[in-house]
Amino acid sequence: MATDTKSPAKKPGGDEGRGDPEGRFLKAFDEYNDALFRHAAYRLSDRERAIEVVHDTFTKVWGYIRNGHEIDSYKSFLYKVLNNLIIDEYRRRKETSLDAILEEEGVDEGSFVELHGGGIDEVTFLMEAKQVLDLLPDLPVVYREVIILRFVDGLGPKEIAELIEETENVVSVRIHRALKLLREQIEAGEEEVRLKRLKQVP
Amino acid sequence: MKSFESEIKRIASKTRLKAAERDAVRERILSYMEYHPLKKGRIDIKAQSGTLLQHEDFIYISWNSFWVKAVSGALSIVLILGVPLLAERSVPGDILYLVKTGVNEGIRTQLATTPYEKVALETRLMERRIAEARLLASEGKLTTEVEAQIVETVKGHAAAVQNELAEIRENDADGAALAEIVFSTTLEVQSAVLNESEDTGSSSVSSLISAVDTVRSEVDSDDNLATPSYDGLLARIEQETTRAYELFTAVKEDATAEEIVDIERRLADIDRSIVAGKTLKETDETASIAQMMDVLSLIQKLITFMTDIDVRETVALETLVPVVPTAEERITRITERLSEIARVRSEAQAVVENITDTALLEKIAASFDTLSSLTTEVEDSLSVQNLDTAETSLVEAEKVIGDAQLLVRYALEEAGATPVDVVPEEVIDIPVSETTGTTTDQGIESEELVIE
Repeated sequence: MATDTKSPAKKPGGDEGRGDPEGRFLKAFDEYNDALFRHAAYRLSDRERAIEVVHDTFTKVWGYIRNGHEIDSYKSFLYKVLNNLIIDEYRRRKETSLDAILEEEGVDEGSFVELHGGGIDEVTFLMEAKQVLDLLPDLPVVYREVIILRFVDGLGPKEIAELIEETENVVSVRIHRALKLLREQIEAGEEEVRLKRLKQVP
Repeated sequence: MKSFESEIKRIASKTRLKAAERDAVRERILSYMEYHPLKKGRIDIKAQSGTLLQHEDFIYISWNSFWVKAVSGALSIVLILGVPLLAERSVPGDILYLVKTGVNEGIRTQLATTPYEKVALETRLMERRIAEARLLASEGKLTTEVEAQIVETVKGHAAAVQNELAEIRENDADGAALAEIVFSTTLEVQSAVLNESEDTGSSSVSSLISAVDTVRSEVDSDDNLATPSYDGLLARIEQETTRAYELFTAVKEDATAEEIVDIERRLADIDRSIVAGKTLKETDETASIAQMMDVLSLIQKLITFMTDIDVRETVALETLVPVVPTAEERITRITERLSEIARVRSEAQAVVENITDTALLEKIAASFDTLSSLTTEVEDSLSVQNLDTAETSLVEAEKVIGDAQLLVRYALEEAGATPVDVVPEEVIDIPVSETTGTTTDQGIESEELVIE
């Protein structure tokens, strides 16, 4: 690496002040690298690829700044770029496209009326957080996406809606359905275990 | 209990970059930045826009003008009187928020002189911070940074309460114990309100939920937690019950018929619990005090529900103060559940002849035997009005009939029959905790996520 002290890359990240794009960019890296990595790791179930996608996210964002753009909220912008890269990654893996998955899984976007039967509390009641995280890789892509954004990244439905370019209604319905699906999977697994135990009892 | 969301976040937070990985990525990004530096033109554009301000014209007004002095005086009065009032409605991020927390609340803090007043004030300030966070979240304006600041402030108020409680404890153990119950109840209510907001808000308040839950568990597991005297507790309960009835009379005029019935039911439940606690004192004073502490907490929650419109609009009364069934209601419910068990059993027995697997048949027969003895236990306990024992045996019986039902379904599947037609699924709603517990007991857990 070059030793030119005037290079932007040489400036330490964190305290450069609001007006300094390099400083703000590096501060954003220090602040969000773990959160972005966590998001990518759960979405892709592949640690190495997650690291690469996080790296690519920051280089893309730097390119955007370099072209003279300013970023008001790094958090939402970084998530947006990361999300796009993850979708590219899915496509590269030649998985079923999002539209096809929607069709295959019978996911229509529904409405809030469907949620009147019960809130998230009702669906998550007694659901084990660890079981949910373990089942994430088996969840359809569209459901996995909202569950990770909602619970792992802690974003609200409005933020998620902006990020994935859907309405809040669609996001809420997807979260509700995803949790319902997870709960059904957990209960099915528990029944299997219970039956196994009963058969083993002398 | 930690909320589902904070628990999932806690587990997920363990997935992070290793220091070496982070350094490597940072280094690669720095190299990228070095080979792709910012374009010069970008900075020049900014510099030019900055110089524009130097050419702005300014208007100079002489201070000696009468009107300037008059307007300034009037403005000063408006500022002194109006700003603190306006500031009361401000939330983090507003210009007047510093006036609210620094001036208005600063004055209140100075006015609270006794530890009791300080506990009440710090508790109130903590509630205000949480309400502000909820308001911001509902509007989708709660950023991570603001939430982090509020979390720190809430922790600060909670720590201040605990310090004051420690001071009270030195001279007035009873007073400290009662204040602890009130503080713990406040945290419980706030936790319930936050959890409800989490579902409806546009932004997440999960860090705040986690912080409140942590403070709650610290308060509840505090080794120095004192137990109030029976007499002190009873006096406080009577005082608060009177207050609750007065409030109920006041809110009755505006409440809906349904709300009136709900509150009346809770007041009746509380009265019954007080009578039961007094009776229990004759045989077991410690148990009686524990029961009365719960009663005081319930009254506090009911009062909060009636007085705090914010709480009332967010949380259902049943969540805060669940209905306590009367003896008659419990007996009716037990009888209904017994009938349900009998119905499922007879349906299962009707199809047993289709089962060919003798080993499974033996297991099913053994389940029915266990079920018979358990239902007899329930009936015996019911006949002597021992409802607690009856309910315990009933839970066991429901678990056994659930197991028998599962075995019958499986055995019929093996025999080639259509189990769904003969034994409907989910006839008995077995408590989920029972089945979950069994799973954990067996040590059967899913494998770790591959990304670990």
